[in-house]
Amino acid sequence: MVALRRCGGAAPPSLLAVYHAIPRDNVALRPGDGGGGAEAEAAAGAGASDSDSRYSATPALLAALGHAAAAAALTALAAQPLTPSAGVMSRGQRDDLWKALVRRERESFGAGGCDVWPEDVEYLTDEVWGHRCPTPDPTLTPTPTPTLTLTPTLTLILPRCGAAAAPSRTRHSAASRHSC
Amino acid sequence: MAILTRWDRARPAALDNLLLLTKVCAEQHDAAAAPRAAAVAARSPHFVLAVERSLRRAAEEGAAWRAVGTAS
Repeated sequence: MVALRRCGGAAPPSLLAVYHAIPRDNVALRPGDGGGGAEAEAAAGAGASDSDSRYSATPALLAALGHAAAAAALTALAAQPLTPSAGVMSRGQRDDLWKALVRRERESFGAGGCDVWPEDVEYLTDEVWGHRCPTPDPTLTPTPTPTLTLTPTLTLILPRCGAAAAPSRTRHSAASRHSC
Repeated sequence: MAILTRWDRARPAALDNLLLLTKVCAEQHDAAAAPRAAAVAARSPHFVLAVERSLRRAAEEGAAWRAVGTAS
């Protein structure tokens, strides 16, 4: 944030796509002016001078943070889960993924059309699969896969609970070998 | 790079039949002899159950939203 403020003096900051949308005389949240975000502004912008604050994105950032905090408070009061209202996938990504799906359907499966919409692609990618391939990475999965097995304590408890028979010592030992 | 592909190759692409896989995994999945054979053979039954459960949830939510769209 400080870096953004400091680069606003000589040349326009290249990182700010909303550069022209920020009012240059927006000084309502400068330190010492009061308001809900003044303390946060003072803490976040410590070290930056007031002279270059007219190009600051801090007011917009504080407004967004306030908006997010209000949303979190409202959903907590309503006992609802806090979920992002906007997807994390850009429209370009979504359309690319959808086009790839349509092309794959045509080339791999010979399907004439595809009933799936780009919005469905976004939903599937974001909500259902979480942007991750569900298959475990073989490089991260050791073989043999760790498995849960009975402990010696359980073998003592099981007969008391009415189980037919406790696992024999031999079977337990074999299972323990695979679990390590 | 991840792409969407059919989980069950015998069924068309739909909300409840699309799996997000890496390109390599998707090609292996599509090249299997029978639908889902690669996943069933290479993964545990728990993986198959988890995928089908996720797809079932997607189908239910999709149906709910379609009902909202037709009612309004």
